[in-house]
Amino acid sequence: MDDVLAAHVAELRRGTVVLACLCVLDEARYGYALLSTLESAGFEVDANTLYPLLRRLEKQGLLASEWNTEESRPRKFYVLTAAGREVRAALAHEWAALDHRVRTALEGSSR
Amino acid sequence: MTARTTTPPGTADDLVERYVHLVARHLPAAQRSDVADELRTSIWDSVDDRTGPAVEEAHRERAVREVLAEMGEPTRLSHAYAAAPRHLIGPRYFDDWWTTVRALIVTVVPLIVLIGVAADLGLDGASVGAAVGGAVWTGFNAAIHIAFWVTGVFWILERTGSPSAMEASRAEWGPDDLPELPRSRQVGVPDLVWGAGLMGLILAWLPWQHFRSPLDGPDGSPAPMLAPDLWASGWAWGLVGLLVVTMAFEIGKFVVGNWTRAVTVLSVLLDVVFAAFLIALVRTQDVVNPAVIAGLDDPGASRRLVGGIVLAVAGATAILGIVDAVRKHAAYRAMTDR
Repeated sequence: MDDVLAAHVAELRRGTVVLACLCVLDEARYGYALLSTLESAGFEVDANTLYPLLRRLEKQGLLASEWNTEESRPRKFYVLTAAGREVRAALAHEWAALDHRVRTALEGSSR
Repeated sequence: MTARTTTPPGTADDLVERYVHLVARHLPAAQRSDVADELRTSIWDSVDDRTGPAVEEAHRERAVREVLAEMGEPTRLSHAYAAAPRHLIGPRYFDDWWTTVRALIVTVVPLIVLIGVAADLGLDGASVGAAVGGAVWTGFNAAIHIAFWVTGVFWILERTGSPSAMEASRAEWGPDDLPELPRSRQVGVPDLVWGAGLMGLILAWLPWQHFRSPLDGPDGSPAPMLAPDLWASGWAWGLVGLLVVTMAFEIGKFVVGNWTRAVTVLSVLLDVVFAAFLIALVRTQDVVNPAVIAGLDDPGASRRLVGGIVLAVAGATAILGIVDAVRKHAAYRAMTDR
């Protein structure tokens, strides 16, 4: 039963990773810093999921990236684009609606 | 997170480089160094976060091992980066690919084998064993070619992502597009291959025994097995005609798919006509070429032997064929009445 639950929880969280990323990228961040930010915000994301995801979001035009070579270690910084902001607003709205529907359905069934 | 100004050569750096290389190796060239640089930095950031400012080598190596183990198997990470499909034929085209390969192989390969056998026997005068062996080998090669080229076409489709006609028809799908339930067939591909193939083999045998006979006449030169007079008198041509009609009937039976009344009547009629023709043939004609048996002590004995065999085979084939036809027609009636 624990395995079943874990699989469903993982499935549920997988769908929220994109929204989580978009939520914290108003300010430009590089890969590992973003991972730490998400972790401290309570989102569990694996490094091997996040790094490829950032590139996909960039390809879709939701993020823009820039290499910063001023520090000793060159880092790629990602930041939200205008399109990314729009998608984030739509996803957040969808999230709230989903939350509302789940609550309503739960209340209905507990009565 | 401390900045590392120098990366001394050692096991920890080596491990990271090996990992990054494996991930980036199969990525498109344009992406490769960019992904490698970012991944390398991310790994070291994570390592630094674990070790803190301490740079003792053993400690550092342990941290690198932890980070890499968490990142997981390199090829999986590589696939996550790669946009191009990592399969030859994906789920979108798999069914179409399989249907095409199977349909081409079951239709084209038997045809090639039959034509090959007929050509080898009739034109090149090869022995039966060599002809069948050669044709089977040709058929095998044809199957490999079909599978290879069809897969190649679907490989391109998979990569170009152009919506095929099949995909378009799926997009506009509606309940009206549902096909009828498949009719149960009594006559399948094996029946067709066996029935039409046997006729083809006999048709191929006729010119072979005439022009490339393995038997010698009295003068030592090859002599036809069947009496050449049969061609002049038209009996042999009659046999060819009956074989062609039977072959056409086998194909028609396959198209109909079931032992309907018409198929059954035609089948019984053909069985009777064929048997009657063969019986009349051996009763009235010298079937065996006199030149072949002239050297034997008792030519009459072999003539009677051949005649007897033909009579027995003709009779048995006709009776078995009629019994089979009636039995299958009864099964068809039972099936359709339900």
